[in-house]
Amino acid sequence: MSTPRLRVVLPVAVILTLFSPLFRQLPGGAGLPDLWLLLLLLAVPVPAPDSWRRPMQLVFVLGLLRCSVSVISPFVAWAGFGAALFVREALSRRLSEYRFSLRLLTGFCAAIPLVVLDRLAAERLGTPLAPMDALLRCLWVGVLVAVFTRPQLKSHAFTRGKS
Amino acid sequence: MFLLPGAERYRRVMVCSGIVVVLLVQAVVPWQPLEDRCNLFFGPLLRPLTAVSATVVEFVAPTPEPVSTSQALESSVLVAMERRLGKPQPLPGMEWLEVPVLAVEAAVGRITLAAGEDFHLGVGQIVAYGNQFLGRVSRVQLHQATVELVTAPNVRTGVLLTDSAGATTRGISLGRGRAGPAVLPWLQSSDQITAGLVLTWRPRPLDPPHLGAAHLFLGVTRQEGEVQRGNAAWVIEGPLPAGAEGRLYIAASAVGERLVAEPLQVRTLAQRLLLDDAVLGAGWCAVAASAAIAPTVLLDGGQVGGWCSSWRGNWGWFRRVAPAQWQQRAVALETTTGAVLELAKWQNVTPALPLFTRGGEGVPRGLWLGNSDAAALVPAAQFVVIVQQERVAGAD
Repeated sequence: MSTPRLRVVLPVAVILTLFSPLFRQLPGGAGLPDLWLLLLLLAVPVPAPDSWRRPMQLVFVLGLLRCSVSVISPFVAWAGFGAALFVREALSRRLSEYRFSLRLLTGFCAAIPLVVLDRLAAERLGTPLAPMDALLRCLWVGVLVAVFTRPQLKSHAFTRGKS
Repeated sequence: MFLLPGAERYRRVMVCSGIVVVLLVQAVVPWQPLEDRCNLFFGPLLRPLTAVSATVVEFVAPTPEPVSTSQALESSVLVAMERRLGKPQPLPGMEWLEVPVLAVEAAVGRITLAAGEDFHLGVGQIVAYGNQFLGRVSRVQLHQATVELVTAPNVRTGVLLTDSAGATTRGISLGRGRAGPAVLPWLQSSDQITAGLVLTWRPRPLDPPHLGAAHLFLGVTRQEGEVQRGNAAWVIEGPLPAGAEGRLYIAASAVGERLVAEPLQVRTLAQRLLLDDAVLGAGWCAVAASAAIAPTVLLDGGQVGGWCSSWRGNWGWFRRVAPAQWQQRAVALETTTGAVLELAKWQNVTPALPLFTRGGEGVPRGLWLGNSDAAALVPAAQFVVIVQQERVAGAD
């Protein structure tokens, strides 16, 4: 059973965190995907490992990193990341990973909890997140997850062990 | 305990699900004490990363130097104007104590003052703004006091009605709270009463005698309801002056050392970290302060740049908005007449008016926000000052 390779994932996460404010400043940046969620979905394999210790550690650390460059509470990130893993796990057990559209659907649905929680938090803070941006964020995550989690990709930089 | 591998797996899944559900609940319905503790614990740990990220962002995309488009105003302008307009006429043997307002609940006829026993306030003292009588102090705590306005439910106030011929009639007004303005259920003679007559305040027998000479204005008469239906009533039309939301004057025949109860403000130097949020985008500013205080607003060059949304130990996030976006939390100053205007009156006025903080919720009143048509302030990298007003409400 493969598990996230923290030695690789964490430095990548830190570098992404450092550049993330620039990423959001890009044209159309509001609709770009959540980098930490994307990294989490790429790092935690499907089906999930027997031990959830590593994925939960990753959820916790990525949530903190996200919170260091965002006003949004770390609880939102932890809840969103945790829910994303559960949604993806539930869907990937029922949908074929050999079809791009189903992988996209799985990634899209996995991004929904975090985006919904972000929208709620943004609403509370007085800077509403536009529905189109929220939709785009989910779509981007779905597309990128579908592209980078093809079953043909036997080895993965972010995970170790055999699936 | 022996568990089958499958059962063990399900146990772990259940534990993780439970944790995620708890986190979801906290994310959807935040429990503030837990948020605060979490921010306080993790905030200082995360600050170095935020600072490095800020350096990277500044190196790749430097922030242009902010250009101010409106002429800077002193934050004390509004306060000075309120004092000029609000201080009633001097009375022999009496002094008017100036007390800042902490919260206004006009609908229920209640105002909370930012001073109490510490400023020697007492129950029953009369409260005025300019030449207008507003109500009486009804409750005094250590650091705050409550004023019941004339409009507060069941508050009876003696009135003196002057008709067009100059004759005076005594009466009593009765506050109705949310139901509407105070009514005049009893008048010594209601024969000559018409709409638009001036009502002045009438002191009680035990009030200091000089107060009667002040002739404090209460409002004007207006008829409510329909006479034919038998539900007509005379009410007092006397809106709360906008300046009264900032400071009020309390009549006292014995005073302490100070006549002005100005709330304590703590200012400290701060440093800009990030100018954008990595999740929500523009309109935010991460600020680091040397002192571990919980600030409320960010000041740069005497102008308010935003309010604090989240404080994480020694740094936090401020919401940067254009002055007009302060909406209900801002008041405008009509510089020619000196009138203090509320949102409805300044919103669509041209030329743009200078806006000031309305005060309350920890934000001091009278800080300059900028002109109503100005864009959001971009604070400079250094010399950003954070202001904190003593949270008096929590002290009692």
